[in-house]
Amino acid sequence: MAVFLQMKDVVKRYGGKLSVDHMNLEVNEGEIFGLLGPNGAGKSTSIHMICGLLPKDQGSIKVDGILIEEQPLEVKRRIGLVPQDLALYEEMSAWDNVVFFAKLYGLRGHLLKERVEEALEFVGLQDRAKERPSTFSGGMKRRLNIACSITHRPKLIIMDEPTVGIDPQSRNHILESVKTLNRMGSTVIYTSHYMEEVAAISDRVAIMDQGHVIACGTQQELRARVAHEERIILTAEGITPDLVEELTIHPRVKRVIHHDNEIEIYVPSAQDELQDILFICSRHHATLSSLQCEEPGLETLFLSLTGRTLRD
Amino acid sequence: MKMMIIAWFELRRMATSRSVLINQFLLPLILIFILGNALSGWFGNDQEYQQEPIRVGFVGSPADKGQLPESIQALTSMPGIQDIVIQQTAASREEVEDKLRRDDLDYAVVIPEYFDERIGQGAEVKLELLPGRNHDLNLVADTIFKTFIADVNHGQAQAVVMGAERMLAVPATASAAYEGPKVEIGELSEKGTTYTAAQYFAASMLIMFLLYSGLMASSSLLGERESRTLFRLQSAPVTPGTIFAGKIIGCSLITIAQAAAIVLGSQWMYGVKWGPYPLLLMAVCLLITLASMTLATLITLVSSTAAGARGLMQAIIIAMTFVSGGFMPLPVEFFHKIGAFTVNHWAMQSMLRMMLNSDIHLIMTCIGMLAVIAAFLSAAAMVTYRKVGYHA
Repeated sequence: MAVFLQMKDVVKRYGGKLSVDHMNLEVNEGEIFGLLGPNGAGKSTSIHMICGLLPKDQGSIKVDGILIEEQPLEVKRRIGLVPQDLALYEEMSAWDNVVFFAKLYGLRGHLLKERVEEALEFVGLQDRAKERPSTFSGGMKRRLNIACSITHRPKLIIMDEPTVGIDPQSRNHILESVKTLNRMGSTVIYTSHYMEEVAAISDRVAIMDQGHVIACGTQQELRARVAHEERIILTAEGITPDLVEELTIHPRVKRVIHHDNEIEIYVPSAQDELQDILFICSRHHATLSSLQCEEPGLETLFLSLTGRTLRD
Repeated sequence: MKMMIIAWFELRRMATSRSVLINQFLLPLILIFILGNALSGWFGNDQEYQQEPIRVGFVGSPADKGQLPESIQALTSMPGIQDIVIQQTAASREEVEDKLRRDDLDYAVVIPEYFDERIGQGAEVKLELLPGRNHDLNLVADTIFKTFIADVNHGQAQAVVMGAERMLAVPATASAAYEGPKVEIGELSEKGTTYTAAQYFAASMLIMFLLYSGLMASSSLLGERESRTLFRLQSAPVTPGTIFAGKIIGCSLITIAQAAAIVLGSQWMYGVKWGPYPLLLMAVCLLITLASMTLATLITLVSSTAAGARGLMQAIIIAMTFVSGGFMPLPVEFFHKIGAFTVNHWAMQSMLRMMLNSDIHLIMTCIGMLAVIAAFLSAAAMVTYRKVGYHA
């Protein structure tokens, strides 16, 4: 597959602080690429640089073979950015919003009408086209936010945390939309700090932390890096510091993370260690209410690479 | 092309806003009506001023047996003064005081004894002047009698210097034959001389509200930033300069529509005559619009929030309107000097001169000064834009 987006040694500083630190990244044409990382990892800054909204301090960014600093408007024509914050004119109708942004991408006449209808239908707002966004729910606004970015059928769609603060139904709708847009031929970069979302839709994933890409590859490749670890999640009443201490010093337990009534225990094999762990809980009079064993995922990888969880 | 797409969208956004329609189109017409009616007494009404007669009570001295001195009689029988001063005599100071209190007299003069003789001897003379209740009439009467005393004393001083024989002629100074007014009232333009309150406030409100359109532009520019729509606009294939210019053009179109609405509305509803130069009036409105938009640009670029920009812009517009006499004509020289540096002053002068149908070169001078201020603001806005830019 051809490389559609290439970032080489890209640096961005705010004041003296490095926000993006010598970042290298390649996104292939036609894939859904997940950019995962906690808040402040540098995801949005990277996206702003790709879209030409922020100047980089160092390095090069090529989109579809075009250097952004040489032909910024050409690059922008190829990109449809769905911003993290809702960027809509509340006093104008949904139709007017989509038409306005479509015109800025050069659509006119019959084609404009056709594409706007198509975009609104795609996000399920064709029946509410004449209404103002101020009357919409959060999920509907998010969907309109997407519609405004796809009328020109961009080769690269960048979605910057598009599911923040919405209901599960709208979230599913958006995730399905991402897959559909990809099937229609667009390359998609999807950023989120929700590991589950990225895992559900992405072909390849890059994990960012503190301005660096700390891991990049297909989900299988990334999981293989932490294949030696499985996670046991216990929910119980009566978890005491002594219980946590005893679990921590167990020779085959790698890490223990304790939040309120929940304990996450990382072990080489959940099947082998489960009996021991349940025995320790019983000895400390902890009453179990649920038990879950998980194979290693992106969360586990992030934890093993940084020592922190994605939501920290 | 994209600039016009943004401008048209901006125009449509503004047109859908109820507050813009009320504040920019309706409010100026209401204010012109209120101020024009409430303060109409401060302005001329195209008719010559007629002085009201003044009832003056004279109290002669007992030594003169109540007879008024000849010099005073000569004064009150002078043409011009005899039409204004209605002479009444009284026996005592108490009597005139009582009449002044009861409004039976407007003014009183108590004449000291041997008044004419003292004048003849070259001694200093004084009159005791008692004002009444009407301030305007007091002012006129004061002027008559104080001028009379000043003339008499001036004549005496002349006589002292120039010789005794001239002293005998001094009383004649007061009773000299009236030779007609020494000042002639003319008309510089031989056209209109005054304007009505409605005309004055129509011009003043038009200027103020055209400047307020800058406030609308500034709020819109910063609003794009605050609502994050600027971010999306800048991710489209459009340069920041195109976005900025498009929005300014959109606001300018609204401002031009606003100017037309105020001019035509005030003419139709209140009969305001804007003068015989519609093209020049349009040019003045365009220059005010340019000044307003460039002022908005400057303030927008240096402000971080829409609220801050709004406050600063409002303060500047109100201050400029005040010092240029936009709320009421200011008699203080200090304000006139400062006002000469404002957009409002030269715009106001241009419009008022057009209303008075003044000579074209006078109108063009004012428009030229307005153009200079607008050009200066435009240059400052361009320099600031180049330095600061318009970014999300």
